[in-house]
Amino acid sequence: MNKTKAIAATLGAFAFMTAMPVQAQDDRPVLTIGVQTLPQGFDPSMNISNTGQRVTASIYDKLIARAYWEGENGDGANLVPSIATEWRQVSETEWEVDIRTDVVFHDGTPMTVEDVAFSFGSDLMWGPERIYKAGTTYYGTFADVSVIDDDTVKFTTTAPDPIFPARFTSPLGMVVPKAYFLENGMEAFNLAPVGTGPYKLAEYKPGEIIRLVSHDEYWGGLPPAQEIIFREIPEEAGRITGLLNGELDMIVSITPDQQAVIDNSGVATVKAAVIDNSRVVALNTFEPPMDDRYLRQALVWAIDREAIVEALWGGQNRIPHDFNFVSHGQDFLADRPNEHYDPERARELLAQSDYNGEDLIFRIQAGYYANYEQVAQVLQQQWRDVGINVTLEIRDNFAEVTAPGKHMFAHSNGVQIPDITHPIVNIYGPEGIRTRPDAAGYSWDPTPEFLDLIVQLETTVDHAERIAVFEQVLDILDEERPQIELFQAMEYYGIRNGIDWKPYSFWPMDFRSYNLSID
Amino acid sequence: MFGSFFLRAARMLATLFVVAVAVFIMMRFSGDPVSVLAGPDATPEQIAELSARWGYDRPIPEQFITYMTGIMSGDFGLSVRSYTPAAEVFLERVPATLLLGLTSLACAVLIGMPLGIVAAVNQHSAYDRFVMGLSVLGFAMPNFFLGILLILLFSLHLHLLPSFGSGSWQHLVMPTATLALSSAGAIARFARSCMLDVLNQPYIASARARGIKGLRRTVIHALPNASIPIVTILGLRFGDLIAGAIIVETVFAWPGVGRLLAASVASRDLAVVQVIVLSTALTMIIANLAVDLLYGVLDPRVRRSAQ
Repeated sequence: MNKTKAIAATLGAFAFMTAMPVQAQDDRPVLTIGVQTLPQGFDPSMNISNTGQRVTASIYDKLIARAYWEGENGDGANLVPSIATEWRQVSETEWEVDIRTDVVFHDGTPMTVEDVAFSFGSDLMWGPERIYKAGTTYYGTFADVSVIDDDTVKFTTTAPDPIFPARFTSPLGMVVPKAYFLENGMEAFNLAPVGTGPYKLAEYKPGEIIRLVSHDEYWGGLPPAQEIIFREIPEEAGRITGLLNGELDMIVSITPDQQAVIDNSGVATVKAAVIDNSRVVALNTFEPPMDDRYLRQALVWAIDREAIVEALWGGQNRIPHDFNFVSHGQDFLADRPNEHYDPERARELLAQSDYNGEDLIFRIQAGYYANYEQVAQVLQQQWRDVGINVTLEIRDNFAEVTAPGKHMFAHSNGVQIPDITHPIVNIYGPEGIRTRPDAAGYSWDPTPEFLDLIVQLETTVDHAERIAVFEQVLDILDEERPQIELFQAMEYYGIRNGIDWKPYSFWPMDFRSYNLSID
Repeated sequence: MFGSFFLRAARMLATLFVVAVAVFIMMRFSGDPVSVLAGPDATPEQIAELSARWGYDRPIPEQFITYMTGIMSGDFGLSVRSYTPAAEVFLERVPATLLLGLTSLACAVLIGMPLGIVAAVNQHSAYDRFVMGLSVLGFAMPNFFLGILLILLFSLHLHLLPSFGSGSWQHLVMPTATLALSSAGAIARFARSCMLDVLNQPYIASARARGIKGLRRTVIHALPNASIPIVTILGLRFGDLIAGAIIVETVFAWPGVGRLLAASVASRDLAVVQVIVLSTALTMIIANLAVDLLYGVLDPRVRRSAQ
């Protein structure tokens, strides 16, 4: 915890140093960012997608932060103080968290421990009548959250929780104002958010512009930009031209083939980030013939993922080892085999299956995942090469993608907590988004033994034991194959020269002083 | 005269009713708005709650009556994206699209008409062939392609114009040019054809025989008669400009009705889609009515028959 204290002290010192006169605030630049699409609001739970996290990262603070900026590639995994200054385990199932007392919400209200208790309490996150339905995915182990004194909150878990502090680094790790939230309701809060983050919402025109202005009372010091403006420019050519013309300071979602255009311009460069989110083909095991395990295995072995990554990302991208991610740090199982391309084996597996050449429906949401339509066409051809017929259906939205009748659908797995439990718990845990019968992506019914292993993974404290459980989980998934991991997502940012900013290995764009400086 | 007016008004209302019914049917049966609104992780209880709140749980006939009653009282419901009245969301975008559409139409007429008329007067000349070739290129080139070409030329290479957004006359130039060029091509071809018809009429030969000079003969004697069918196509082009705005506004990030419509369809924002489609239909009907009235002004025969 010494490191934690050091960082807290640094942040405090920085806050003091940046309490500068009004004159200095006027000199701060306005940063304009061209994005392909804007989120439909700002509530953390309702805007958990890439477009949402890109903006909400500036509006809210997490209780405990993941120090992405410490990693060379924006993939640091250390946990550092944010709204919490310190945390300690006081018994096997109890944690005490010290809270900052100098935090002010955007509306001028001081943040209190009551706000923290509400943000992670049963009413909002994990109770049966919770407001954030997805809350149990991150805080399903919580049993009680109570206020001890003016700067301490106690958390009680149902079982030992080895990843307790890391849970708050998830997209739902943000602190929201209790009174304001309850008074207005989630939908109104979504359009008029109040957070503790370095920038507050000043203007929102759906599909056009989001203007955030500096929250000058920010506990972490004066934000480095006077304003952050997100402008929706759907056409990539428009975004690139805007960047090269100086109309925009940064742009997102550039295709790899445009990287050289920007790098050779002399006015901007591209920074690429491998994102801790893998693109997958989720297999609907309930729709015959996809209930045949051999068919699902054949689908996996028929795909040449190296060729896809080479063709579409010039080999810059990373192929995940199923749920075994490099971002799990020391727990990443580097020696676990990851060879999935063997057309002969695919044909053999197909011969063992009951598949009779039926058309399999593969649904994709139009334009949602970069390059996914092209990838799907390659997959279609590679599957056809081994004798599997697939029809692509492009749909407008996820509700239509997951409507009945699909055999497989485009989906993704995001490592939202830097631990081996993620994203497996979110996806195939008891409350997972593909195992919960009432979830749109419900597509696999794991055995009770498998679900028990997931619970063990979440509650086992002994490191060696956890790894052994993790290996068992991966072995079962190898056999059952409820999904096909394809490649990790990549995000390419165009950045005007003179802006020092590091992209992270996940969707949030961080414009706090430690990650942004502008000449 | 009054009988004719009431007949037109009755036709207008009948057309609007048919459009309103078509919009209702298409939007109700083209995807579930509540599932989109609720998001992928919503529980059945949440979906049911949202359905009830937005009235999608009621029987279709009841929804239809509510919908039609709302339209007649000017209440189109709330936008599910912004939770504000759909009409307000729409009206906020109207000025930008009107500015773009009318400027484009004016430019298209100012470019297309003279080019077509001069081509007709100089039929089979090199100029005629050049203008007709250019007009084919103009209306055959897709808007999104022309728009990107203009961005690359005028923004990226020449640094003369902003590549996106609105707020100044410079922002207006490229979207206007993109929309106007394709319309100008169509207008030029049509103007040439109408002018040729009129120039071959006996009364023009008679004017020539009476020694009336070329420019006076063309402008005073031929143009008014040639204008009548051209006015018809202008009414139709106005509709095309609104349709074209969906693409052009997306390419140039122009904050108009076109982009709003595309985004609202994708997110199944039914109230906003309804107000846009109905308003566009109304605009088209009014444009056609204006064309009919202009006929009367331009052609005495129409005036007399109406009387």
